[in-house]
Amino acid sequence: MSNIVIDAINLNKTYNPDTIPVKAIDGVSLQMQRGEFAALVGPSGSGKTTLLNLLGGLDKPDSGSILINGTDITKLSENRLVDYRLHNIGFIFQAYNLVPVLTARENVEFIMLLQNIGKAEREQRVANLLNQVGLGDKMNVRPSQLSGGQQQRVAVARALASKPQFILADEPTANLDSHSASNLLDIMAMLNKEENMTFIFSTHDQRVIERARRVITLVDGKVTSDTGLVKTQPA
Amino acid sequence: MKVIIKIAWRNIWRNPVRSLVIIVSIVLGLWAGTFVSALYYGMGEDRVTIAIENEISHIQIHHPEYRKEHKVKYFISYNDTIQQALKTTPNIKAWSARSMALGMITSTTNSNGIQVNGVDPANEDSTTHLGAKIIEGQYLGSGKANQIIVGQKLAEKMKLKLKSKVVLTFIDKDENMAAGAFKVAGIFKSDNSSWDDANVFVKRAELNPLMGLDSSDVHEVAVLLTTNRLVDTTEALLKKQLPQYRVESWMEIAPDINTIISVMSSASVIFVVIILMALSFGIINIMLMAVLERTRELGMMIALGMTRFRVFVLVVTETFFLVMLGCPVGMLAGFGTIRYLYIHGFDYSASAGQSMAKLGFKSVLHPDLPLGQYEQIIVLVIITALLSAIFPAVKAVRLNPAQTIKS
Ligand SMILES: Nc1ncnc2c1ncn2[C@@H]1O[C@H](COP(=O)(O)OP(=O)(O)O)[C@@H](O)[C@H]1O
Ligand SMILES: [Mg+2]
Repeated sequence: MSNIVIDAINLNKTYNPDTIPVKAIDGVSLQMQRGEFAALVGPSGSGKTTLLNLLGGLDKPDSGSILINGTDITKLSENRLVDYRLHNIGFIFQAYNLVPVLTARENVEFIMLLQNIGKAEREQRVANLLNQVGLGDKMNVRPSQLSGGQQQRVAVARALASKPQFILADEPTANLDSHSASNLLDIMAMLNKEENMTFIFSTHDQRVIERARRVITLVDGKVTSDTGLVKTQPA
Repeated sequence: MKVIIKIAWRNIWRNPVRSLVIIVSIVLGLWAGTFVSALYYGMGEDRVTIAIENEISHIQIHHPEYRKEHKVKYFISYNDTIQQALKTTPNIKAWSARSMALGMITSTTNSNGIQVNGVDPANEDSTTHLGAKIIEGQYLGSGKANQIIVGQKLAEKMKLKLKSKVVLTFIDKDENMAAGAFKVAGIFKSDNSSWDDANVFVKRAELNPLMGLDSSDVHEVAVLLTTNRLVDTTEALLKKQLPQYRVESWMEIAPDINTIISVMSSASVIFVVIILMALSFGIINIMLMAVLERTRELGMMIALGMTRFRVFVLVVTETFFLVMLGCPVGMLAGFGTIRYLYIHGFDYSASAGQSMAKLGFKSVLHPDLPLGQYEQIIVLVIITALLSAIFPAVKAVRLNPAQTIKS
């Protein structure tokens, strides 16, 4: 199997093409290898969220293709895409990540239930993951009783629970204080290393950018710089 | 799917006030639906009972031609064959043999078209309780000759008092005009004022000679049974024993009463439909609110890979839970009200008693509803609620995850 997880070729996306067109993504091509830990940076409005939505199959480009392990997800039907996301892509959003009426444990379990994973495996994975993100003692607590940082850690655990090809995180630290932000990055970096999980996260926080091993810069929907593919296993 | 049910159940407690609004509207919907249906059903049943116990009885026996043409010549002989059959057939409570003529009643002031009924007073009373309906004067007695009793409405119209003289005119057996003078002995009043208006009663022994009939000749034998439920079997038994006559049940004799009942039940259907529409409107609104308030969360679940079908099921299940919480309460409220009013009676004479009496309804109603109809209403309410959930659920399904998460 090729080491290239994502191969995005010449993506274009224009919002409101009929009224006030906004070219959010303008000819972006991008490759990601397994095990990368990459930051997508750029000023607000530069197209980071749009690009992540395209890569995650939440939105379709006007042109271009996105091959994920060789499958062009831009060609999938809406229904196939839902299933594809469930089994292949992990999401961490900026906020409103968790189902409010489910506990931390149930939130992580939720995605595996959607995947029809058996009870024994579910329970074991939930416990392992929540321990890994340092929330072993908060398993039965609902999101409203967790801090912002803790909620994002549950979201990380959930993203990992579905065993995705890669995890997309759109400004995961935007609502966090610097301590929680660095703590979250520690956990993501640790999982990247231990599980060889590919992470792509957008941010405009300099301290977060410093943690990335690859930095892709977007300006006005174009990639203006890319520190390039770095060998996946750091020294 | 279990997790969807869990989320749905917990979701309904996130905004208890809103959920309570739906539950209460379901309770009210069921309560009103069953109550209105029971009111109409009870009215219909009352009407049947009135008609059977006071007017037509369960079964009637005639000359085969009589009901086609009410001519005096189509009489039957009230002989041993009939009497024996009536005596030996089970579940017969009473019967009355009548000779009848369509004719005119004339007083000093004016005249009116009526049906003259020549009866045996005691038998008539045990069959239609006519004696109990006398409000002034006396029932037909054995003493004085040429007594007549008339309805209150008719007496008013014709300015008849006790002891007023009237003349009855009609066509006799040989198609000649015949007449007889009678004296008002009593005035009766039943629950059906138009019936009161159209019937007068004299003794058969006095009427028959005027019509040119023997004293044992009659036009109608009305048979009262011990229960409403054995009409069909008893009718069949009598038919077999009396093949030369026409034996009919009340449903054949008075199809208009059946019509009234079906009009009543369509009226209650209209009410129930209105109630269901109101319920549906409320559910659509509130569930739509619940969906629009949670677009981010629903969008997030769709983004993660929850299928649209499951999102749909989630919204419908929430509605279903609310219905299930409201149903038992609403049913009990409806059942309780109906039973209470059934036992104590529901007096609406103040509002509409007069006009209903004209149609032959009592002014005190006994709302009643067979269990099967409760079931029907529950099923209707559940279906309505679930159908109403479709629109909000489709809204939820149509959410664009990329858009909702961004906002
Ligand atoms: N749904 C939308 N409709 C119209 N314009 C949009 C929409 N979403 C994003 N945009 C525009 O596209 C551009 C890129 O937005 P976005 O991808 O959210 O940038 P970033 O995440 O880097 O802030 C911006 O100019 C934004 O205003
Ligand atoms: Mg953004």
